[in-house]
Amino acid sequence: MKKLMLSLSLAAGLTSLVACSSKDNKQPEKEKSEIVTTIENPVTIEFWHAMAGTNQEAVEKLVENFNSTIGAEKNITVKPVYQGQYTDLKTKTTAALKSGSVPAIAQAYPDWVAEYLQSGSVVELDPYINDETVGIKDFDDIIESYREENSQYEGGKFYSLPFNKSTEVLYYNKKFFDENGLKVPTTWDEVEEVSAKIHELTGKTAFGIDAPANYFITMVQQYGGEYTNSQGDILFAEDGAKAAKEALELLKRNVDAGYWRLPGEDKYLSGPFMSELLYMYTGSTAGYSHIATADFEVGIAPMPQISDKTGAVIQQGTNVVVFDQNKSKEEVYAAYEFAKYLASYEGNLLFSTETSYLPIRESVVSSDAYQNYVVESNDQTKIVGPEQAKYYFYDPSFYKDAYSSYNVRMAAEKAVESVVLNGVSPEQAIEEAVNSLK
Amino acid sequence: MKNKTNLSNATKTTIKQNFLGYLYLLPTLVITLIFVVYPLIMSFRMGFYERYNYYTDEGSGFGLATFKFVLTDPNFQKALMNTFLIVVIAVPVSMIIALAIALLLNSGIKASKFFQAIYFLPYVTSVIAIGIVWSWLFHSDFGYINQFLGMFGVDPIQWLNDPKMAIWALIIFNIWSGLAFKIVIFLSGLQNIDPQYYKAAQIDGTPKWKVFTRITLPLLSPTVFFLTITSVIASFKVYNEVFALFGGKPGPANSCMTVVYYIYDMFYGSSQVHKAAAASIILFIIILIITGIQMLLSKKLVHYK
Repeated sequence: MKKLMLSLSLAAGLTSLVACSSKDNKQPEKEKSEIVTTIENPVTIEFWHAMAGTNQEAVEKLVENFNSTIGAEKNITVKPVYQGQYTDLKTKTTAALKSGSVPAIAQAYPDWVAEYLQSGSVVELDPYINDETVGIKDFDDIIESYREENSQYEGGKFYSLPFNKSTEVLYYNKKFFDENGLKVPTTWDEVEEVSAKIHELTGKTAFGIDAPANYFITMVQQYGGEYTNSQGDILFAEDGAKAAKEALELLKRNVDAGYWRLPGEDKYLSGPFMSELLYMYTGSTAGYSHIATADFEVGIAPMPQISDKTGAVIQQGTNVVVFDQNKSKEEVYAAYEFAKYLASYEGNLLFSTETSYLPIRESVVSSDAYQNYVVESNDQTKIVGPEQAKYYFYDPSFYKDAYSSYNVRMAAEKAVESVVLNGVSPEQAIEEAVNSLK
Repeated sequence: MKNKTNLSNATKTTIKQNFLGYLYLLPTLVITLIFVVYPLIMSFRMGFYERYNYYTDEGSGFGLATFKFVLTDPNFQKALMNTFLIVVIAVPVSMIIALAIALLLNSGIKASKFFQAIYFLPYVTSVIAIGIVWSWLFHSDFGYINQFLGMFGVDPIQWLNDPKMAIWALIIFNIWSGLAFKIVIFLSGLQNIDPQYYKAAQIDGTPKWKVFTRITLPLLSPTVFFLTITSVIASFKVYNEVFALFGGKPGPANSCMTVVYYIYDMFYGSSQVHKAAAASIILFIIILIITGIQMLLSKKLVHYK
């Protein structure tokens, strides 16, 4: 009987233990208190990221540099943890936020941040950025679009800092263009013209769009419209969806003529481009490494525009976000220091010269070290990309009960695909997109 | 009086023994409760909220609003239609092909063991890897399928680009990927049939077709029943195949959305967990009803020896 009672009480203990641990993640109301900017006892924080291969090596170098300089001085040790691909990173971060074991700092896309904000554990960075001693003094040096993107959340507060960034450019087969005396297009009219010529010469598709959703988001703005805002209003539907229709009509006209295409079954256009089944396409600067080894010389030009007034090029990539769940103030400050280092001149110069990602600071772009690196590596995306900075916009991020920015993006992609692949009229495709967002 | 105490003593022993039995089960029960039952109840609960904060587990608007949203969502309707199409076409077709192959293997052809192993290989290969191979087979310019059809003068089919064809590519892939498991089960079913029946039929000079319909099929009916139940359920849960064939997209212009893909996307993509929960409850009810119907039918059609 004694044994029975013992095992019973053990079982009871076990269940209550489980009950307790599931309640742990409920945090006490966050009190708006002073930030801590000095660390007495050394702290170690984890940095969760999704950078593999050479990118991971660069992250490790950044961490090493930080730990041996700023970290050593301020009693901070950062431990980088690779969490797999972006989707894995997001799943794990979400799960960790739920179980109360989130790291102090992690890579995150803006729309993830919009979701994480619901947990109440994302740290507002303004008090740190604006602090007299530990703030970021040359903050304006960070390209405007990145600053806007990271403060697009409620109240215009900074909930993240920029880290690995890319943009879109026009890739073209330089050898083919030179041989046939073709001019590299700078406007969409010219893209249409050159496409017709190439099609006439080769009978093949001339031009492709690697990211259908980006085409929609970018072209709506180039045609003088708006896409969405960070509050989640579907702006492209307003004003009779004029810009969106024009964008889809341009695409439809050229696809129907056999000039343009989407990746479709090839998933990415780098393959068809390398096999010369296609002579130019718009795609991410981060994808350049896939075509750098082509048999022909790859030309890189700025994204075509409709007009200078409505110039628009998407900038994308992740930022870093700081969490305070089950963290001491010292740990939160340590995480900020690391985020600050990643966005600093030194950190960003290292990262943008070791990976395919672009600088986030004007001073890095114009530095001799960076310019020399570009000449050495012969990677023109590194010049052409940042040159478009004045046209940069970001894909606004929000999370609402009915739908989130992810859903709008998916709806835009579906609209483009329906027009191109299913023969749906632009009007109907837009109507379906708007209807799916209710 | 004596009797009574005896009885209660016996009862006591039984209770004690039962209790000990349950004690041995306790670790499993606790784990099942925590990792299966508790999440199940939580996800059921989630589906009934109109708004839900996944991080804090707080919801508001308890009721059926989310079910209404899911049922009227054109994406979900598309998913339901596609899923039914897969169930109605892929399940019977792959059953018939699997049975034919199993009969062939069972008829004592040469190297039947070798072929058994070959046919079983897909079952132990990752669906993602197979999906990549199939996406190449289906490629409109370079795929073997179009090259083969081209020999008969068929124009290249845009299997993976055309939203109207993509679902058929998925169904073909699904038929094929379901074969391995079915062949193995059919084979074991066939080998369980007493050869005496066939000998008797042989003596009577029964034609082959009659042997099949009067002996093989009735005696195989429990196997057919088992396979129907499991493959209908499996077809309702098609998701891996979609993910693999279209590189992490539900087909061109969402044309291959299935119910489980919808749930996956609602959970991981849109992060609308309550809608994912509601959709999975709907799927659960559908599978429950269909399996119930199958159980009822089986009473009439299945012969157990």
